[in-house]
Amino acid sequence: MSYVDAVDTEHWAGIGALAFAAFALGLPFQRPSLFLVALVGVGFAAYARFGDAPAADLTVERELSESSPSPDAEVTVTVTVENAGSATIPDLRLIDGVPPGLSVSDGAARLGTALRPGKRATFSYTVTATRGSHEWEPLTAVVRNASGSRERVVEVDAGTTMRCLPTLEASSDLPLRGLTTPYSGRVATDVAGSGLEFHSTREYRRGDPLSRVDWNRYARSGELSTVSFREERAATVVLLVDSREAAYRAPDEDTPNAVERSVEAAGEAFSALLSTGDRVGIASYGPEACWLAPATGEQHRATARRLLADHPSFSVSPSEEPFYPSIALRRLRRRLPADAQIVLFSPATDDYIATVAERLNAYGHQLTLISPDPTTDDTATRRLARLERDTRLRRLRSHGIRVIDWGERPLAVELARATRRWSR
Amino acid sequence: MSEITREPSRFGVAVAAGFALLSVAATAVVVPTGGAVSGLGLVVLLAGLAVASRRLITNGGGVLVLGALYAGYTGAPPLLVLVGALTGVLAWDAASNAVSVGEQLGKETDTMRGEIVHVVSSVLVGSLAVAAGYAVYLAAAGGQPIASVFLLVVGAVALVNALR
Repeated sequence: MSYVDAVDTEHWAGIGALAFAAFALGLPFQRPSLFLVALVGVGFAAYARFGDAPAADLTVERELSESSPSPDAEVTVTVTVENAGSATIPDLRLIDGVPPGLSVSDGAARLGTALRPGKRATFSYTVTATRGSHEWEPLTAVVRNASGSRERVVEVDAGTTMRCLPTLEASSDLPLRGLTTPYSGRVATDVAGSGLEFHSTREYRRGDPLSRVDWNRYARSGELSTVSFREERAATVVLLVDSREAAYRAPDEDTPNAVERSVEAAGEAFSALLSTGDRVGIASYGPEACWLAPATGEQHRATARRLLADHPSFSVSPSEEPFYPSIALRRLRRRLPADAQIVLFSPATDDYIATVAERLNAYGHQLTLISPDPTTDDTATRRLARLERDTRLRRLRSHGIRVIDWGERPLAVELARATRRWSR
Repeated sequence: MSEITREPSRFGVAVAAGFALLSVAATAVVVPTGGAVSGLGLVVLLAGLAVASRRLITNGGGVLVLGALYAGYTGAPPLLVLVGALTGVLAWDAASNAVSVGEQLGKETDTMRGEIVHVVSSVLVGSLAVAAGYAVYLAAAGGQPIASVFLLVVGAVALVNALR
C-alpha cells in the first residue's frame, strides 16, 4: 500500500465568496437575515477546512468464482474491502484494477461507499475470460473527508491472478502441403505405394502383394498388373505466429486483435494436426522468441496448451522489447527441421512479413498463410490499407503460397472453402 | 462489454434537484422576483448536471443563492431567507459531488451509501449554522438583533481563522 498526500478538491471553492457577498450586502442595508446567510457561508467554510482526508488503511480481498476458467467463461469477481484503520472513511470510492486483457461483462468494477473502522464493503462484477494469464492491478481507492474538500488516492494490492488455458479444440482438419516425413500419416503424397487414393498401375513385379493385383484387368486381357496408391505420410508442421507489433491490429476496440485470433487458430490447428499423427511445433515471430520443437504425444499437447496461454510472445498486447528481424529469421531457420512445413498466422499488415513468407517458402519449407483480416472499410485510409493487404495476399498466392484470407467467419468455414479451391 | 458512462449519479441529481426546488419555493413564497432569479439558477444548475459541467453548476448554485440574497435585501422573514440560501448551497454541494462521483465511478456504479453520508453531513452542518444564527437572532430580537448577528458573524470568522 502506498501513501500519498491529500490534495484539495476545490469542492467548496466559492463558499467564502458567498459569505462575503451576503455580509457586504447586509452591512449597508442593515438586514439581519443577510448576516445570517453569511453565517451559513462561514459555517460551510469552516466545515470545508475542518479535517483532512483520513489516512486510508485498507485491506482488499479479491475472490474469483474460478481461478482457471476456460476461454469465454463468465467469472464472477467479488472484492471485499475492509477499513483496517481507526478512522471512519466518510467517502470512499473504489476502482478495481481489472487486467487490461479482460473486459467487464456485467456489473461495475467500482463502488462508492462510506466505511467505519473494522467494517467491510463488498462489490462484485463479472468478467469474460480470455486466453492468457491475467494479473489484477492494484485497487485504486479515492478517500475524501466528510465535506469532500480534501482527497487522497491510495492504491491497494491484492495480488490476484487468473489463468485461462485454451481448450485446443480441433475444429477441422488443416489441409497440408506435400512436404512430409518418411513416417506414415494422412498427407497423400505423389509417391506410389500403399494407401487409399488411386495413383497409377504398373506391370506386375515378383513380390507385389496379391491384394494389389488388378484382377479385373487380368480377367479381361490375361496380363498381370499392380495398382499403386498414393502413399500417405505424416508431416512435420511448425505453426508460426506473427507477434510483431505490426500484427496487433483489430478492426475496433471490442474485437480481438489479429494476434489473439492467430493464437486461437494456432491452438485449433495444433490439436487437429496432433490428432492426425503429424508432428507439430509452435514458434513465434516477434520480439519475444518462443520455440516448441515439433513432436507428438499428450505431454506435448499439454506443453503447447500452457505455452499458448502463458508465453509473453502471445500476450494480448504488444511486447515492449526491441525486435531484430534478421536475427529472428536466422534463428528460426536454424531451428526449423529440413522437412518442416510452415503454417504462418499473420494479418499480413505490412510488406515485411510477406517477404518473410516468400523466403521461408523459397527455402523449401512449404508455407501456408492463414491471415486473420483486421481491416475495415469505413474511411479512405482504412480502405487503402485493405487494398494493400489484398494486393499483398495476391502476390503471395502468385508465388505459390497457399493463403487463407480469414475474415469474420469461423476458420473451419474458410478452410473448407479454400480446400475446395486448392489442387494437390 | 459494459462501458462506464461518466455522468452524474442519479441519486445525486435527484437530491440536488430536490434541494434546488426547495430553495426556489422558499424564496418565491415571500418575494416572487427573488423566486424568479432562483428559478433561473435552478435551470442553470440542472443544465450543468445534464452536461456534467462543474462551472455551470457553480454558476447555477450562485444564482440560486443570489435569489435568496435578494429576498433578504427586500426584507423577507429571516427564516425563509435562511432556508432558501441553505438549500441553495446544499443543492450546489450535492450536484457538484454527483459530478465528481460520476467522473470517478460512473453512472452504473452503486454510490448510494457514500453520497448519502455526504449529503447528510452537509445538511447537519448547515442546519447547525442556521440554528445557531437563528437562535442568537431570536434571543436578541427585543434589543439589538442586527448588532448581535453581526458580532456573531465576525466571531465565527475569527474562530474559523483561529482553527486553521
